[in-house]
Amino acid sequence: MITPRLSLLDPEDANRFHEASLRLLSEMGVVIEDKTAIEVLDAAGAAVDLRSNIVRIPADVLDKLIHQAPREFVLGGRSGRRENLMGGKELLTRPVVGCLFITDREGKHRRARTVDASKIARLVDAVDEYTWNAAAVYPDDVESSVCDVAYCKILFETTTKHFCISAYTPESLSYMVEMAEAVAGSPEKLRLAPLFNIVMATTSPMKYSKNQVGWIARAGKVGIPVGIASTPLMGATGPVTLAGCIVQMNAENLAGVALSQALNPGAPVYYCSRPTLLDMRTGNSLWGPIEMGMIDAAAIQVARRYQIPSDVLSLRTDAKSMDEQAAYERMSNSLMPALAGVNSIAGAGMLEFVNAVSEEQLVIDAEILTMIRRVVRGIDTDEESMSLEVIEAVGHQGQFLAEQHTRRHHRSEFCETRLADRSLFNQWAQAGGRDIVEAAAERAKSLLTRHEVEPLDPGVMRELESILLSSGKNLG
Amino acid sequence: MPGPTQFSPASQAIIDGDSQEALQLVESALASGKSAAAVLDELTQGIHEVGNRFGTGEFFLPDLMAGAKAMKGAMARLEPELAKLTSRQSDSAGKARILLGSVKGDLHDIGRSLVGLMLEVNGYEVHDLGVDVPSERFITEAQRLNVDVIGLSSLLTTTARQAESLIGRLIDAGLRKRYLVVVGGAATSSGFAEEIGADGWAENATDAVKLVGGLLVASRGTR
Repeated sequence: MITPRLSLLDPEDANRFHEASLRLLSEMGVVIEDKTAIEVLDAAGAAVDLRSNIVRIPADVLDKLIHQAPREFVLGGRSGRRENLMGGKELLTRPVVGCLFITDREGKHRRARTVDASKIARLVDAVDEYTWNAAAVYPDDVESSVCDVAYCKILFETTTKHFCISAYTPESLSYMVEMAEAVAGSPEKLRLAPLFNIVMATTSPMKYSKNQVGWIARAGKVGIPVGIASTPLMGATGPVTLAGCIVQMNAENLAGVALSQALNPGAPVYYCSRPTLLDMRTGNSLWGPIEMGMIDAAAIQVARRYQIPSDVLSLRTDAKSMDEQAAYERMSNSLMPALAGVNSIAGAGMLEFVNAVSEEQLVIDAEILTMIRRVVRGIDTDEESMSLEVIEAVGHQGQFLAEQHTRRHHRSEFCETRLADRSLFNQWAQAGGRDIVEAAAERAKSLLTRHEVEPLDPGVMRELESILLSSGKNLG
Repeated sequence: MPGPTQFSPASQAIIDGDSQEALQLVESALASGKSAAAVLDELTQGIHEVGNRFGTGEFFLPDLMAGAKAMKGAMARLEPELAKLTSRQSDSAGKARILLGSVKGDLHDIGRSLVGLMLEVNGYEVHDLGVDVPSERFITEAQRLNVDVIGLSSLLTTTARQAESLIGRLIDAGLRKRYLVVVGGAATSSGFAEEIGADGWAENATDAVKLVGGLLVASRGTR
């Protein structure tokens, strides 16, 4: 687990949120629109009402189920790519899932096409700061009923990194699993190091639909990790207060975790904080307000007691272009949950709520994440770092530049940024006087020119093609 | 800034979003022999003021909701009295009717509800079929309620095509010219509306009111 650096809530208050969520789950209950799931939860000790589909989960039953969920699990990548541990010591990072538009440097947006989806995936593959890839922007030029399955194929072709995707239906998830088994070589290999995971938004307030149960059940059965993402829209599908949002979100997420464990004990799941706010003037769903970061940080603090890996979609903004609003909203909203000890940060590249993705923003976010990782690492306080010896050695007259101590530590104490401009005015002006978006565009271009992704085995390629074809016949 | 307008107690109750007070005032006005038409004028003045204040930014959506709810409750009490007045009957029949719904497979509720609310506040008669509405149901309800406009909401790219299928069905049934069909929601756009042969598209609830108003004026006498 990552050490939390700051806590937004008092420990007693964090406990009150936990207790409040327990009360919702045991007294009000959650609606689960799936008979099998209700039966399984009934057998696990929950009180079920078959007429209303309301499942009430007592605290002891919940506790037992939640403790079956793994504290950490492996995220594999194809072609021997380094595996990552979700829930480990490292902060994992990935792009957004599920946008529709591409934003260009001038802030114009257009509907994404397959070439854009491939290009974005290849860019994320090239950027070291990203541990996983993701189905960032769903293309417009693919038959919509199989767009998700087609996207899964695009990702296998364009990245060797583990990726996150969302499936339109439980049936389409089965086709994705088939693809992953073909790439991994066998169902057993896929289970040991799953090549992708799905993230799944729940239905607020307090409900799991048949499809949502279907995703959790199918993924859990084959060891594909599921991000359980309660997404209350504050003031609409969730309470308008920050505290109320956390209570409901926590209860909904716990219900999902309990459901997954009742269906498939030990199945890998992670806890996603996904608050949004209904703009009380326009009715738009907002992602950028600073309160979203506060909720994320508090929710992650509350969730730590469950010992389940956690994730936030915190590189968020309501800005339409890569301007100051985009920068301050995504940085401040990400920094708070990072300091609270979240395991994974998602949302890289996204602009305009969760609608658009930009190449340049992806590169800028890599830089933001470098800084965030630095903060999460904290301040070293060993004797050498405390520097008493060197301070005394330098004395009242000297300077530190020539000291070995300085040479030894400056590289690791400060994170190197790639895009931030740190030159003087004349140097900057002579170099073209460009802003960070221009610098990011240049870096994206150079990464894309240089980067090559190891191709899939031709036999596997053919298999993926035939799986996509059969999905087209059955899902259309 | 003009000085504060004095509103009648009934108008004020609507502005305050006080359902109980509004209903009580309607009751006592009718009991004291005030004409239903006069009471309606006061209520209408109130809801218009709610719309104005929302427009200027003084009111937020919850204020708008409360005002509309108070108006709805008061109108439910007033309608039977109004029906007794023949002049009002013809007036109410002249109100444009709008059918709303989220297309089949789409469970998103809030945006469409806001559109309905804004249309109601602006004097339209709104019939909201809710979520996951099959095309056939839109058509049977449109015919049954004799609506002028069908408004379709879709927030998912996978369900947006349902709007196209509905328009196809209307054409097949020879009913396409009978209704104005408008679309909205995250999965739609003006280009999409044009592509599927809809009459219009709006990005948000405020624009939806403008769109419907414009389309109704433009189509007057042509349908």
